[in-house]
Amino acid sequence: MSELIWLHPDCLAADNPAFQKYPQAKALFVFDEAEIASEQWTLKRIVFLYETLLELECDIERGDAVEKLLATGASKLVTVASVSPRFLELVTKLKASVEVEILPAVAFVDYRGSLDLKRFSRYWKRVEPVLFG
Amino acid sequence: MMRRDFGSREELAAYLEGEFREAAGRDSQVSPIVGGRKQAERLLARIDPPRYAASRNYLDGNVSRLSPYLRHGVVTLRQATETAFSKVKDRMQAAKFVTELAWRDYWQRLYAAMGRGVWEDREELKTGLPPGAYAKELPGDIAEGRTGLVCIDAFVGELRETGYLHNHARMWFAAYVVHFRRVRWQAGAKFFLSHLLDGDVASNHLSWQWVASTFSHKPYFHNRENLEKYTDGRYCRVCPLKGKCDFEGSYEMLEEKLFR
Ligand SMILES: Cc1cc2nc3c(=O)[nH]c(=O)nc-3n(C[C@H](O)[C@H](O)[C@H](O)COP(=O)(O)OP(=O)(O)OC[C@H]3O[C@@H](n4cnc5c(N)ncnc54)[C@H](O)[C@@H]3O)c2cc1C
Repeated sequence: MSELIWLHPDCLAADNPAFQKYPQAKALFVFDEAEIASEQWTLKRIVFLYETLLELECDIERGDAVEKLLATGASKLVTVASVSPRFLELVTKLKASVEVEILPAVAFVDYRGSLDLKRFSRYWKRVEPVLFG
Repeated sequence: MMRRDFGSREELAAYLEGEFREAAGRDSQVSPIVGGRKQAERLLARIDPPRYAASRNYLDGNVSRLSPYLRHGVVTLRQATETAFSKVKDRMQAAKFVTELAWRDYWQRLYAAMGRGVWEDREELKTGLPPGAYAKELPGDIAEGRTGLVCIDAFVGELRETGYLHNHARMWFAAYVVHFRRVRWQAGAKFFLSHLLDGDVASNHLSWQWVASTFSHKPYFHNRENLEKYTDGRYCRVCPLKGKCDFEGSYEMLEEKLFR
């Protein structure tokens, strides 16, 4: 098997950068039991995500995300970047066994250069002119 | 592989309740908010930036309810921004709405820099109280919605039932937990994370820190007048504690009571 799109809870759209780059690839979402337990999700979040997934062409699994992704036998996983530490940890684990291509998420604003994040006002001083000219 | 064929929402919910017993054991309610891009697009179509700017602080104001979809990448901040701009002649008419979208981007950028550090106080408390003055756990009467305060109990009920709360209700609830009940913000943040459909460690934890004052210059709190105004009195009108509740009084009086 070749590329597999790894869908995670931050990128659930049919036009996300992974689907755009690999329109023929299969996709998989895993309800990660460790994540559900650590964030103490209740049933309503799972129903919401499931309904979202039913509108996408993908397989759905539950269990350990790394195990389930590796069990597909894909030669390469393709996904969309996330800043969540959980995502970054999964990437590190997966990379020990398989190639992982991480595409940048669609940015809110095209801002090049560093941003001072001490307070929102400092961030906004830089970002506002990009959005409003 | 999990199933993809369901005759109805009830059938889906029953299946998931069987598959995810622990999550259902915590709370098995199903929100009236339906997942998926189709619903997100309906909400995008309804964005009305000028009305948003005028009414967003009111509980029945013209807010978008896009948060669960933005949280999960069903739609992007970029799409929401472009939709808002497309509905006004002058971009500035969409400024309020786009500024709120920017808050999400800001919190995400901070999360990238802070990682799991968002679970810890980012700065010192500005309340004058030591961290030890705050209880570690969320009291049961709050989590179960039986504080006796009609507003707070209603927020808990709505949160548990729908997984959504208006921004102002989140602020009042957080202020109640942290300042009026002196509970560590982390306890309240965990409760929100468990129930919110848009639950997101970045926006959630950093907003709780903002209320608590570990990520702002001063603690956020409210009085009853403020809550009554932005809820059009719907809770106070039927509250047996009206006139003698925790939120009664001027800001100066409350500040004295809460922080000295
Ligand atoms: C204590 C507390 C906890 C919160 N927890 C979360 C959370 O877990 N997840 C979450 O997405 N938001 C959180 N918020 C922010 C905000 O309350 C919600 O994003 C907003 O109420 C969602 O409703 P809406 O989609 O109708 O918002 P609208 O007012 O229509 O805003 C449009 C979008 O902008 C973004 N946004 C608006 N206000 C904020 C804000 N203050 N901070 C960050 N993003 C914002 C959201 O993505 C929202 O969907 C929290 C706020 C507080 C005070």
